[in-house]
Amino acid sequence: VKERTALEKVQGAILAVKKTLSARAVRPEASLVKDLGIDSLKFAELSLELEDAFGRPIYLGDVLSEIEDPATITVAQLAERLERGE
Amino acid sequence: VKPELEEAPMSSADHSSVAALVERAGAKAWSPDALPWDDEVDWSSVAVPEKSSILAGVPAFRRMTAGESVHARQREMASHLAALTIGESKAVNLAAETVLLCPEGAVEQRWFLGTLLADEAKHELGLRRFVEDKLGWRVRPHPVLDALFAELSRERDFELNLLAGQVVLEGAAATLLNGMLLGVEQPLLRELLRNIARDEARHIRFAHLVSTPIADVARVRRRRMEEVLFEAAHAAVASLLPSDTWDELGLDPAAARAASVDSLRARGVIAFFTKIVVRELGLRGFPADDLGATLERNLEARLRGHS
Repeated sequence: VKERTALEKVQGAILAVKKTLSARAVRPEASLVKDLGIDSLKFAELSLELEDAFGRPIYLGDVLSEIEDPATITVAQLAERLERGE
Repeated sequence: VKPELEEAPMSSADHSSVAALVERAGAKAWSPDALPWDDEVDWSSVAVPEKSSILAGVPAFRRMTAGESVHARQREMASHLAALTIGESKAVNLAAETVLLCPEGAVEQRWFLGTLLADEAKHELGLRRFVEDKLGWRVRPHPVLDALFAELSRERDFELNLLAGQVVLEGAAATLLNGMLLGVEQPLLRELLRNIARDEARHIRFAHLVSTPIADVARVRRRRMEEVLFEAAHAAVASLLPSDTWDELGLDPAAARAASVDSLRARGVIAFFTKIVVRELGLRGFPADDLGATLERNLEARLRGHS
């Protein structure tokens, strides 16, 4: 079985916590906050889903606090950061 | 029935990871004094957005003019920041007690807890200065948080301090901070919150590293831990109720409480504690199924003052 890419893991986790979204909506350039409506509570849930997907603890608070405007982070940017081990 | 304190069974990799967190705490050290305190703060830039406002569910709020609504949501933001300030001030004492309870020989853990204590003190100083000097809002004692921290102090339990302090309370605070970070545009507050959020994420990493499975703890002790963790979850949600604004805004306390709890439920905050926090506790080694059921049954009624 082919290992999912970081981007696919992030997209899958977003769909798991925000069940009203379609797979098409979770495109790489979509902003988690502005386009997909992920709020702080959903970020907490997303951390746990990502933890399952990546098999290691994920600290989205750390990621968000390192970004100048956390509301602009995109699906692809999150995947890149997690791939780097952040 | 309380477990003997022994050196935590950490792997050498975990010891190195905790040591790396200590280094990171040094590398990311910041000072509240270095923030741009001379900048004027415009109250209108620190209002809770209407879509996130807990007060927006109160019937009297819906009858407010646009100007009154902004005023109320500014007070709501001040109330949230004041509750965070109280939480940080209590966390300073809890961190000091946790250092003393730290297992003998766990040198890196003690080092990290020292940095955590200093962080919490900085957070309190920075938040208090913003709330009192910039917003002119008074940080009042919070009886529910006071009672919880007194209870934790009496328990004298290293693991319980980590679970209640770092998983339930800091997890909730981190979620609140992230919510504010996503919405706040005022530069001074944003920088303050960003620094605090970064520190809190490091504290949560530490708790994850040193948490050990406690399924084998005696049943009586586990029940007691569940009771205290329930109180921690209750205190965390109760601190989100902007009850210190109700009087000034002329809101009937009973109606405001009922509508605020409705609002917390509708926004998923209560489910966050009954499901996400419970799942988080499970991942950190605490078998939390029974606690989850108790929270489902009693948390909302407790918030409404029915139990």
